[in-house]
Amino acid sequence: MKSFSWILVLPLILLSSCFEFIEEISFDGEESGTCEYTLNCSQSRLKLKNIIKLDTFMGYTLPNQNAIEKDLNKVVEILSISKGITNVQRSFDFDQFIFSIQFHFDSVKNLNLALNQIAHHERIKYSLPFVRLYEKENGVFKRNTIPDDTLFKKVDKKHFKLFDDATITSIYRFQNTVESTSNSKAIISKNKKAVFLKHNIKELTANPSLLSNSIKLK
Amino acid sequence: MTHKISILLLFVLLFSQSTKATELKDYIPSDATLIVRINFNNLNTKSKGENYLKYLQDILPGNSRYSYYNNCNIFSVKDMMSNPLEFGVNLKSEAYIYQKQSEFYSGTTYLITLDDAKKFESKIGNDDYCHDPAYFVKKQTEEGTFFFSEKIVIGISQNIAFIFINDKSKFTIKDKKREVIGNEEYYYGGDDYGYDNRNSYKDSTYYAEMEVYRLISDSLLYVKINTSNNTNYYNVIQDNLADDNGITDRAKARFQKIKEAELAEKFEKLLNDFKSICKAATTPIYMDRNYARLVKDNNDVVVFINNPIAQMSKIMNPFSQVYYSQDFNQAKNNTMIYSKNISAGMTLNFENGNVRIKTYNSFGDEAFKHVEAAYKKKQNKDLFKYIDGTNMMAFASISVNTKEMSKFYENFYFELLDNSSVSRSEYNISPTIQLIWSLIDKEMIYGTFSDRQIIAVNGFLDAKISYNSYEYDEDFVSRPVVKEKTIKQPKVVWVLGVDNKEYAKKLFDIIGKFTVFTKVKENVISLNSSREVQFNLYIVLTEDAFIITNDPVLALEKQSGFDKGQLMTKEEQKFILSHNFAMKVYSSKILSSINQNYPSSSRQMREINEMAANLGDLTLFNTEPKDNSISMEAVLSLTNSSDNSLSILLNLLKRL
Repeated sequence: MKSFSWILVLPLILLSSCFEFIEEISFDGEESGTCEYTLNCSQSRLKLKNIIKLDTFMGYTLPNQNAIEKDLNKVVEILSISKGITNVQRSFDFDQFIFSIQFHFDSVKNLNLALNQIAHHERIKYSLPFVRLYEKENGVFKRNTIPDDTLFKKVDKKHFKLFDDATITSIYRFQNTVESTSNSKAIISKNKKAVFLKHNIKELTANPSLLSNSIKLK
Repeated sequence: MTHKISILLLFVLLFSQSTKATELKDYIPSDATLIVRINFNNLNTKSKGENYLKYLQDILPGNSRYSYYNNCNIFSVKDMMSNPLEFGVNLKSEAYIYQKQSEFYSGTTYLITLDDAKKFESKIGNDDYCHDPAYFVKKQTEEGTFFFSEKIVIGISQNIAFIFINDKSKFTIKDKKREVIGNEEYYYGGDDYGYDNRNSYKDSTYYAEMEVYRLISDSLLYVKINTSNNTNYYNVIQDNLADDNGITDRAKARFQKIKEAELAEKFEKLLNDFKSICKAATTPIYMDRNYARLVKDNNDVVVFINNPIAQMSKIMNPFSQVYYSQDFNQAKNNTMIYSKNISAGMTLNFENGNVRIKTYNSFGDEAFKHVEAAYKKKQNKDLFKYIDGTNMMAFASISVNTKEMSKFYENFYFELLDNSSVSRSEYNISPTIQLIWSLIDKEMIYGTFSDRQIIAVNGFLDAKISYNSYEYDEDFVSRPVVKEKTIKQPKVVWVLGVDNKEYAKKLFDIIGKFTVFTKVKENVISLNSSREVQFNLYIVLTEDAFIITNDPVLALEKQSGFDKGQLMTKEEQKFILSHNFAMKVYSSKILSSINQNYPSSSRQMREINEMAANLGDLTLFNTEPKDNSISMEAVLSLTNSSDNSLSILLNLLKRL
């Protein structure tokens, strides 16, 4: 598979998918920080190991391990040459099916640029618009929703049930203390320097704006 | 007076014979390899107006979408099945589909009765390519109208359409002698049959003409360039190259004529063959005893596989590939005892509240002796004690004398090998296989177990699996943790009756030596549960059984069997004891259990509930061997027994 569309397929092939997606952004300065994305399919690894042996499943072409590794390496490669992105590290555990990519960014602007460059590789298939996923201005950090819930539109509605038990966790850590958050489900840590938000992906398919959050910092 | 009556009777008999209308069944030859009979009239009545043809169109033989070598698709069977009335098809009659090989062709023939032959004819040859006589020929004969292309040939005779679909993309005729025209290097594929398989119009005449023309035109061009003031040589050369004095057009015209002549010649050559397809067969298949047995009832669908040795040879014979080497040896024509008179058949009937499928396998006299002896072995009721019947969802019981059955397969297989076409270098493979087989300890194979086994799915068990996840402290710093969760898995038990305890113990001890097993008790070993294997699998050796199960209660506590009150019902036990093969699937119970054990409000679960509400049990069993045949019967019962099962299932499929 030449494109990264398997990333969309991966959760689908977990059937009653027990998987978690974790988004962690830890600021080490006003604009700079570390970003880490983790896809943990450990709970469904047995199903995944069996299904991945198939060529196609539920109408989707499935990649083999080499293809997955190749595509993830391509993501790493794109990040490595992106402006303002350094120290790109990856961890692919095909035994537990846990995939993680971590990198340092020098500004939120360059972080958005790098993420859009990855998305750019999918544009032929999915026409993703430029997205300012994160914003940090005047002491406010914003996590925006992808406009028009583009990614979820690519998934056949009849496959939404596969997300029944899947979750997405967002953790944002700051140097400054957090004053407030706009998302009522977000929890502020005891030291007031981190915000935690966890959602069921099925809820997000119905309402992608649940992920959006505006965090006011002191 | 008696003499007069005899003459009168003879006259009546002759008259009745001569006026008897030819039926579709008369056209099916006895050497057809596969025959499918579909009773449209039955299916129309039973479907109650629901569209059943859309489920048929994709499974009919010879009906896959082809990549035609010449793009001329003169007819689509799929389109006909999706819109039969538009094609003038008579849906109150039967339709036949059969496969046959002859010297010049192999393919599938559809026999369809027509209400309106003109409508049907209007659907033939409408592709653009089909207007080209190099791809499509139509001819009116006394026997009917014929439409000929390399892939599909159609004959229409009165109210019957014969649609022949070629297995190959082209017909090949071996005795064709044609003067080879053209440059040899443009032939591809090394056609054995003398046909011009060029895909280029450039023949030897083209090259000869072109060479002469280029010599002349190049000389003229040289003069033109030298005498002209025009310094743009490129344009002059290009103009010169573009002009070939009509050589290409003439070559293309010749090529077209060759192709037209080839197709017309093939058509003439094959016309008699296809005319014979459109005539009543001299020895029709309905005279075959095994086939006649299948069609004697008014079945909805009948499938008959006539002497499937060729197909079996492809699957079982290591020499079934096609060889082209010079030392290739034709089949040795050894006597066929076990592989002759073999046929298989199936009938499908939609009854009120039931779908019934019957299969038949017929054998020659010698083969049947072994099969009949194999079926004399019945299930041992002592094995029932190992099956907990309180939550039975499905079971299957098999009791066949494998030693007898193996005698048949051994003779059959070696006969197949001995009659195979092999190259000289492979002559010794067959005797080598036979030598190795003769050295194998058959007593160990056939003497260890008693050829009686029962497998059952009887409930659900809890199983724990571990997985990696993360936990977060009060400042949301993550740390990896290993978590556990409980999942439901079906409870399965497989009981094999033991005939020779000594052999069984030997096997048990050898298996126990593998590192993946742990000895739990003297007679119990367990497959070690790991993160990859989510359940415990136990192997238990008792006095009379070898048990494989994931049920710890049976393996560790109930080795002498469950209490009588916990066993299968008397009806289930009786059903098992009366058949060599007996299977029962409580479909609605399984579907309900899935719903209870994997609760979800998804669309799929709603579908499962819908199916559970409609489906009853699936029962499969064999009947006593007789008349050189064995048969199996499968019955899917539905909860609604007042309506026909076809309309119920079609409605169910529509709702899902």
